[in-house]
Order: sequence, then structure tokens, then C-alpha cells
Amino acid sequence: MTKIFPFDYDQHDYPNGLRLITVPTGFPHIVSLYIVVHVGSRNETEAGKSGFAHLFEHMMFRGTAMYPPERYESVLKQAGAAQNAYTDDDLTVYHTTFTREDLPQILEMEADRFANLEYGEEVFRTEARAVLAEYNKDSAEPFHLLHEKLREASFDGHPYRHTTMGFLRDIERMPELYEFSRQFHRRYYRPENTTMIVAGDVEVATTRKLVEASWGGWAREGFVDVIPEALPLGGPKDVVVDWPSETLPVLQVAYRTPAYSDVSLESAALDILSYLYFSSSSALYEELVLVDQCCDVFFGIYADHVDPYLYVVTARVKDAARVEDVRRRVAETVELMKAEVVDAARLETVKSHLRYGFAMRMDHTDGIAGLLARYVALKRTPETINRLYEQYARVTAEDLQRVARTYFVEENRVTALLRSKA
Amino acid sequence: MSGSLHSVRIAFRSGTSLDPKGKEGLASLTASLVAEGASRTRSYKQILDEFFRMAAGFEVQVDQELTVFYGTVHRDHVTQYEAIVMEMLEEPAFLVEDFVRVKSDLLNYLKVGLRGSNDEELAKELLYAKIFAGHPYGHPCCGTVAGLEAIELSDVKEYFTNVLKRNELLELPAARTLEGLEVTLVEKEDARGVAMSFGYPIEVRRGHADYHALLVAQSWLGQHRNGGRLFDSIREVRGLNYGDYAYIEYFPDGMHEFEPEPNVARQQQIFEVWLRPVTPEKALFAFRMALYEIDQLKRNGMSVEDFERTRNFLSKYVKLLIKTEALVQGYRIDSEFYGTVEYTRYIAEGLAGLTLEDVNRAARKYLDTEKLCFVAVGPGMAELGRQMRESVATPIAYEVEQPKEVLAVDRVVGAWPLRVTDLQIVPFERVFEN
Repeated sequence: MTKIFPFDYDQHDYPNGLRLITVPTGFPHIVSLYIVVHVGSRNETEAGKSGFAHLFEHMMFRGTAMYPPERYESVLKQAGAAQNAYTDDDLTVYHTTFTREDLPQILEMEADRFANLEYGEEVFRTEARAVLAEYNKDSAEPFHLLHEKLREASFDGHPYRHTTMGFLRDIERMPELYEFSRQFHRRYYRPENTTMIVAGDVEVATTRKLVEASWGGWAREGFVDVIPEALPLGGPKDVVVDWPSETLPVLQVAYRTPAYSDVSLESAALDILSYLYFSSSSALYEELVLVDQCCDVFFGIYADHVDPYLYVVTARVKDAARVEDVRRRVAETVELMKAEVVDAARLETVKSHLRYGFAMRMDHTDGIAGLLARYVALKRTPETINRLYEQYARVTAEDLQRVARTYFVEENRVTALLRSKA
Repeated sequence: MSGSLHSVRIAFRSGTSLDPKGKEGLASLTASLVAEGASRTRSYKQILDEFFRMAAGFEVQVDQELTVFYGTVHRDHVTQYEAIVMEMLEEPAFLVEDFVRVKSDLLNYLKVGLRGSNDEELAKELLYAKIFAGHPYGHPCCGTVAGLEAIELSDVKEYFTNVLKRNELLELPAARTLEGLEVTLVEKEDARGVAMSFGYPIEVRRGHADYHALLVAQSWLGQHRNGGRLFDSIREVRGLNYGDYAYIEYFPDGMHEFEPEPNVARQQQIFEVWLRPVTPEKALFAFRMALYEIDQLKRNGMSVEDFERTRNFLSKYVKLLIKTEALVQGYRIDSEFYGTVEYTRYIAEGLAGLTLEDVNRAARKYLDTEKLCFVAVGPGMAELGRQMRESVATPIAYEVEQPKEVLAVDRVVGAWPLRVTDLQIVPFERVFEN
């Protein structure tokens, strides 16, 4: 079949372990640089140090001897660049979009930042407080609290137990961990743990040379991380979360599911099940949102992760008295998934949605690079997208039934309910 | 690849400022019902299923003076897509069940999404409502609780037939003149931080002779999610919050958007500062810090280096904003609204002829630290109100050693005089009730 990822890309490994992926997109003038460090909250295995990958993302803006923050900022301003960064469970991404003539200087400046980051303890303490302020800002939104509690109940023994922000108690004591932060940099901010995406108005050979010149001297560390496996869930579990003020109840029904894979059918099948049974095109959405109108938000999602994670069905219920009814109907749909062999035409519609949905996202350089970064975090190559879509094409109605029967079982279930205390 | 996509964007010069008194939210409810309801021959379920197959959507954005419907579809589906969306636009069915659902969604957005769980956006929207009290911009686009509850399906049909598709520029009264520091404090006792926004009306908008000069001053103070003087001073040096930004144009949903969305064009704009949540004991200091920085810019102007750097940044940065055909269409609509040339050309040409003196003159003329509205959402509002009314000094202490230059500035900032002319404290549950 035709590969879904429509661009000819170049994947190149340097001797120090850094991987460069160059994607000439055909869109003029603009270049997006996405630097993916394969570290996230998944790597926070030590007690009391949750949230550190995210804190470290902040520290990366604190400068080097050659490029102190003011100079760094000045170069970005001169380039008119749009820059940001984010951290998630399996990755930390630094991304910058700018016009093509600025590529050499930005590559050089970023190479210096990754290899030579330097900051003092007082700056570290100040930044740790900015992270607490970020937690405080997020805490206004009930979904954040529900997410925290759901994960805490779902992952005994594995770092997915905490969110990327980390436990509040750990965030509060972050200012004391300056020495650990230096160690964190040495361990994870290394070429063998980094994949760089350069997309847009670029040529492969020139980009390879530019990266070689500025990033080739970055030394390998060879740190090997050991991430523990989560203990069996021992479900079903039920969690209730009280929200202090006015809100609508939110019900999340979650099942432990396998890690992302592009060589087996499971991930593809779980995605397809989401669209069949829990999307805006599903029968249950029609019942709950359009006909009965007891929910205003309803969706189910299998979120790709490096390690086994969760399949989560989320329903925001307009009337607290209807929560149990919604819970029952979600359970009935889960049973239906296991019992029925889905209609072939309906399955084909979902596959069409997936193919067109992907094509719709290939319309600008920054979006393409941003999407690639998510997949690169999982398998370190754009090829994983092509493989995943090949799996989608292969999935049969019988596969869906088998996967549903394997994972949507009571031992794997955690249900979390957020309700207003007010 | 963008050649394989097709975008549709249809704009009308109608919006929230045309909501009838007592039915605030009618523009949003009507437009939302068009985009999220049945049409003459298709139920909403059928529309969703068709869109699902194409991986397409059709959305609406309602602002004070513009209503835009927009969507993008793969070229394989253009004919069918356009047939569906044109029927939605021309022949909405306005079924009772869709009306009930969409009305309830808007009420939930207002009560739960905005008031219950988005303190920062609540502060921003309330700031606009306070500045434009008594003006057609005086309530948010989602309406008010009482206004939405009062709307009947017949109101929607009437608005659709007679108002929604108008295409003339609205005649608006002037914004009111502020006399001092008008404070609105929204009590939310369980919040962990205090979200703040402040500002005042400005005559400058796209097309105005001073637009580019004020744009440079604003960008230097705080370019949205891209740092700036306020960010450096409040977050980077002092670690007080997550970010601090200035605006000269309405910029909704800053919590989630990094770049401005088109089609929130308005004839009347405000100068606005957004301070992300600060712990209650340091909130007033952070507000004073922002006033201090604005005052410094007003008094001393920018350095020539900062001017050149900011101008250069804007000249290049605006080119990154218009990435897709959908955005090209959106910016074109805004250019027409303001009577300006294509946006990137408008910015480039305006910046090219700009001098440092233009910017410093605009800063002196338009920046104000005394006559403004201030809104805060968070806990401990009675105490904050007392401190503001009495202009109590709020010195700050750090967990780390700060350079003596920072401490010297802090002494001035902590004692920054506040001349409050009006102060109200309201519980968050009451905001936008009427």
C-alpha cells in the first residue's frame, strides 16, 4: 500500500548517537526544528523526585556561558522565531519555527544549550517556584485533579502513577534538589537520547552537514535507565474525587492497555475501537449527547505510550442524578464490543476517517514536525507512522473483538468520578 | 500538500454586540445552532457521520462584531462537503432538541468552563465587561446566565433571519472614560493562585497611524507566550508566576493558544495586561511590578537596541502566523474589516518606516498606569481589597538571594501608590449572572 507519511525524509545517525530526521516538506521559507529528548515523567523513578523532567525543561532556558539568557533571547528575536517546549510522559520537546536563513545560527545556539547548559542554585530555586506557579494555574481546572487521581490509582510501581507536573508535595520541595538537577542533565540530555527533526524548506545534505558541525562534538554518556513494570492492577477499582466548587460530574472509565506497538495489531485495534464505540460518530455518543442529552462531553481514547498505559472513556454528565445511568451504559457498550463482530462497512468508514484525518494534518511545516515528534518519541523513526497505518489497514472485525475481550476486562478497570462538593 | 486540502470561511458582520438586552448570548446561540444542529434534509447525527467519514468539521466563532463559519476538507470531498455546509447555513432546521442541547452547552461553558474552572479567562472577560460597561461590548460572547436562559427558539429564528447575515459595519458609541483605578475582585476561596488582568480602552487599532508604534511597545513588554519585559521581570527574575503578557488587540483563549486567531477584529480595542496566577500574598506586588514596568517604558522609552530587535522580531514573526489556507482566508477577512492591505505587508510596511521616537512617543501617549480597570480572581479578596484601597505597601521576600539592583527596584514597586476610585468584591458564582 502507499505509505501514509507523504514526505521523503532522511534519517541519519551520527557517531555520538544523535539521530537527525530531515523532512523537506515543500512549503517555502519556513523551517521547524523539533528537538526530542527521550525523557519524561516515565523516567522519574526515584521517590520524591516526580515532576523533574518538566522542571528541567524550564531549566533549559537558563543559558550557557556563551549564550546567557539575554543573548539567547536576542538571537531568537532577531530571527523572529516562535519557540516553546513541552514535557509529557515519554518525551521532552524543544521546538522553534523560523525562516530558513536562520537555520545555521539556531542549530549552533541550540547545540551549545544542550551540551553546555549552566545555571546556579539561586536561579534553580527561582525556576522551581515558577513550576509551582504553573501547578497552581493548572489546578483551577477539575480535569487536572481527576487525571492525577486516576493515574495514582492505576499505576502502582510505575512512574505513570504521577502526572508530568508531578506530585504537589514533590513540586514544593523541588528548590532543594539543585544537585540532582545537574545529575539529571548529565544522564538524559545526551546525544544518544536525543532525536532532532528538521522540517520545512531544507535540503538533506546541507542539513546533515550543519548538524554535524554544531552537534557532532556533543559527548555520549551511556546512562542506561531501568523503568520498573507496573504491578498488576488488581481491579476493578473505584475512585471518587471531590471538587470544592461548582462543576459537572466527570466520569472516567479506564482500562489498562498495552504499550504502543507498530508491529502488532493491538494499538491499531484499540484506536479503531475508540472511533467505533466512543467517538462523535458512535451509537453511544448519539444516545448520551444528542438524544438523551445527559452528557455534554463524551469520548474514548487510547493514548500511545512507551509503556503500558490506559484506555480512557470520559463522560461529563449534565445531571448528577444520571451518573450511574451513564456508567451502566458505558459498561453495556464495553460488553457489546466484546460480543459483536462489527459491520464491515462501518469498519471501513473508520479506516477512511483515519487516513483522511492524517492527510488533513499535513498542511503546514510546524504541524508536520509537531506530529512527527510525538511518534518519534515512541519509536525514534517516522517509519512508525507508516507501520501503524499498515496495521490499521490490516485490522479485521474479528481482531477488534479479540482485542476487546483481552483488555476490557474487570481486572483491568479503574473508574474515577469527579463530583462537586459544593 | 496543502493543495490537497480545501478551506471554507464565511464571515458576517454580526456578533455579540447585537445581542438584545435581556437576551445576552443570542448571537452565539444562533450561530452555534447553525453549526451544531440539523439542516433541512439532514439530522445533526447524519451531518456528524458525514463529517466523520471525511475527517472534516464545520465550526463557528462568534465575536463582538464578526461571526465566522469555517472548515477544512480534503479535495476528494469538496462537492459533498460544500453541499452539506451550505444547507446548514442556508436552511438550518432549528429543531427543538438541538436548541435545548446547544443552549445547555453554552450555559455549561459559562458556568462550568469559564466561571468554575478557568480563572484566567474569567478575569480577562470580566475586564472587558467592566471597561465596556453600558456599551454593546459589555458582556462576553457566550452571553450571561440570565440572558441565555431567557432565549426562546423563536428569538433564534428571528435573529437568523434578520440579523446574522448582515454585512454593514456597526455604529458603536465611544468607550467610557476611566477616572482612576477601578477594581473588581472575584472571590474564589479554593483557588491556589490569583489570576489578574488589567487595562483600559485605546483608540489605536489596525489602520490607525500609531498602530505599528504601539505594537512594538506591546511586543517589547510582553509578546504573547514569547516572553518580553514583563515576563523577564515578574517570572524570570522573581519567579512569581508562569507568564505575563501585554496586548493591544483582543486575544481570547490565551491559556491554550500560542498565536492569535483571526476574526476577532473589533473597532474598539483595549491595552491589556494578563498576569498568570500568583500566590495570594504576592499578587499585589506582581500587579505593582507590571505597573512599574509600564511606567518605566512610558517615562524612559525603549533603547535603540531593543527597538531594532523588537521591530526585527515582528517583521519576521508575522510571516510565521499565516501557515495554512484557512488562516490566509481569516487574515484576509480581518484586512477587509480594518481597511488595510494584506496583513504581513501591512505589518512589514508599517514597521519599515518606524523610528524609535515614534515608539517612545506612542508609549508616552497611550500607556497609562492610573486610569484603568483591574480584575483579580482568587482567594483572600477582602484582604487584597483592603490593601488596594489603602494603598498598603507590599514588600516582598525571596527564598534566594537577589542582586541589590533587583531589591532596589522592589522597594519602589512594593510601595507603588494605588489610587482606587472604585472597588467591588463579588463571589465567582455571581459573575455574568445578568
